[in-house]
Amino acid sequence: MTELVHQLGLDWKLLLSQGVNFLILLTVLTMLVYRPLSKLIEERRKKIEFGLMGAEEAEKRLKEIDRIKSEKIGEAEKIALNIVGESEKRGQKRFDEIVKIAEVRANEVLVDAAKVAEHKKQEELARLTEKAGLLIKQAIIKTVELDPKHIDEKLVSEAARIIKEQA
Amino acid sequence: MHEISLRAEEIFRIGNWPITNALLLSFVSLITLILIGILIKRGLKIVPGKLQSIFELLLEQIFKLMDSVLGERKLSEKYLPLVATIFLFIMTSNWLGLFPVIGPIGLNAVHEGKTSFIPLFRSPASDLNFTMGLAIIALISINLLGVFAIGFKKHFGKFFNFHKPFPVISFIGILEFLSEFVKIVSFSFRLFGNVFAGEVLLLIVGFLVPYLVPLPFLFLEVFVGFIQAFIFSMLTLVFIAMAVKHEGEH
Repeated sequence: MTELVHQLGLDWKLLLSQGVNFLILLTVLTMLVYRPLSKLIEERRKKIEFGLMGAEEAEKRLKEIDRIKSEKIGEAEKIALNIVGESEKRGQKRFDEIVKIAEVRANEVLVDAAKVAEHKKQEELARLTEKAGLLIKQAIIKTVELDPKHIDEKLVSEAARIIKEQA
Repeated sequence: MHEISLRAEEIFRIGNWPITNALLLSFVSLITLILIGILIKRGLKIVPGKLQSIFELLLEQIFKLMDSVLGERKLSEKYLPLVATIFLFIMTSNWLGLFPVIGPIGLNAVHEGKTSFIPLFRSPASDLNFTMGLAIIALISINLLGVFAIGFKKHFGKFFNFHKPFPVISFIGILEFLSEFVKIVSFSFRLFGNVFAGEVLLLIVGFLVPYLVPLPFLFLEVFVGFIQAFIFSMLTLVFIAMAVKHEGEH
């Protein structure tokens, strides 16, 4: 047995050295690699889980937001249509009012214009009358100065000439 | 070609403590893995880099495998360090032993009146001390974990019990107890045999046809190195699973 052990090279010192080697490696790798790496993998797994949950929640919320958005848009469209309808009605009413006011104002303006025109006409007539009086007066003066033979003819032509010039 | 020896060759001594070439490469594996561990620890980020990604992938695969055996992630996390370290240590040692530069580096030493070439490094698993050391630690761990999980009485009650039919069950229990020691032998000799045979095969093929021909064998040994590490760690895992579960659970 001793010979067999010797031939196989079994030596308790070497056995112990190899065992200690392994135990050192086990301790070092556990401290340096296995524990930190397992912790890190677990941490990453949690983060991914959290991220996935967050993404799921975000997707749900997005769908909810889309639904609310559609509802709101529908409501807004209805309100907008109402507002437009209301505005059209109010616009039409206001238009009618403005047209009415404008018509009244136009009538007033027309009346004023007629009054002014009448006034101017009266003024012109007065001036014309005054001028006509003067002309008649001048004509009579001239008539007195003229020969009675030619009075009719000359008088008429002279009066016509003066009137022509004056006009 | 240097002499083929079952025993790992002694390179030097520290006091009266022998340091063999297998132990030396075992140290190299240890330091390599520790350095990788430090690199991973320093660059640990929530968004992983290349090295961290590779290690995470490896760890995730080991986790999946352990989950399928143990049934739950919590247990996998608990026993991961032991199983993963066994796997990484054996695989790294096996692969480092296959590096072509490992074999030729050595020294000429006088042994029993003859001068012979002794390689400075030797694949640790081709030394029975390495495989048996790991097997003993694995078996002690399996039993300790069993005791912690189900209690001393229940765990050892599997081996020493007086249930009816009395002599049969008790005898099976004792056989189970003996098989625990046999496991050490089966664990250590399986790994040792495979790696040692691979070393010898590579040595002979390399000696007979040094160019190109050893290449397929080298690839085969890379695969064997991985498979043997996997088998060792998987057996440890299965025995842990059997030890930490109550009798009625499996």
